[in-house]
Amino acid sequence: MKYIKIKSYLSLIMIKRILILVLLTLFVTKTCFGKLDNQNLKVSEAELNEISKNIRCLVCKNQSIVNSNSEFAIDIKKMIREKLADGKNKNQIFKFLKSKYGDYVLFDPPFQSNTFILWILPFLFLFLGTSFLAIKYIKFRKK
Amino acid sequence: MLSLLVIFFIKFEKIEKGGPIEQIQSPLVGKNIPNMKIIKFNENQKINFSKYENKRFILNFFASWCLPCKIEAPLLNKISLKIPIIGIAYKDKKEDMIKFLKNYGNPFDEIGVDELGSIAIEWGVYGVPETFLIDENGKIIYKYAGPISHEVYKDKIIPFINHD
Repeated sequence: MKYIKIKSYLSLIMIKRILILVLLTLFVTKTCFGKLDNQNLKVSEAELNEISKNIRCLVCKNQSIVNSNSEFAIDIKKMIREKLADGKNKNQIFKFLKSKYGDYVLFDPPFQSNTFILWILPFLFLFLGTSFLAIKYIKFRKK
Repeated sequence: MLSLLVIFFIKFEKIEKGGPIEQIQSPLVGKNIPNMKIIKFNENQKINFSKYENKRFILNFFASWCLPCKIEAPLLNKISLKIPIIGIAYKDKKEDMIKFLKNYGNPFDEIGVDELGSIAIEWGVYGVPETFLIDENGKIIYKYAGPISHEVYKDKIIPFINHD
């Protein structure tokens, strides 16, 4: 009789322990999933970094938003994450940012009427310099 | 090298001359105000911009934790006597904002909240304070980043208010 009582008591303890274990497992799983949810793992971190590298931190000194902890950088990185999760691509995100902050927000200015001089100028100077040197060399050879 | 020298001299001349804080040209100037829902502070309803139809108004992004906002507060209070101002509290805590408005005055007709900073992005804001002048057609006609100075007040805001 006493043996049966002890046995039932032990099984009660076991049931309690199992229940606690199940509850703990559920809690831990939920916490983990909660964290995954916040970090939004559906977004590729490499893609997010690649996009962020080309975005100028407007409140920093010639720095991209990648390594900045300014409120501006935090907001923009959060926005990029949301847009990527929504299925938007790099160009769509750049276009959106340009519409809000202008071309200056991007490190690589787009090739368009008001920026073409920026793209052409280095090649023009290279061409002029090379031509100058070539003419000088030809003249020198002739002498 | 030559282009770098040209850029250097242009910049040097600007520094020599002095002047207001360098402003980044906003692509939103000349366009209609962003169509985004802004929830009012302490009220469960959005700011009704149609209330300002055919009226000029100012929209100012501010925060209680922002020191330049405290600097521009007296001027903003003065402006509020002449034109309606909508304030958008950027990433602010309710209690801090109440304390801020109590200490520095409340120039705002309405206050909207931007808890996450998403409204600021829609308006092309990159810091606080930032001020937008909006005409009677709902178009942004001027944007100023930084605390409103006496020069901006005199050269931009006064003509904007007195416009017929």
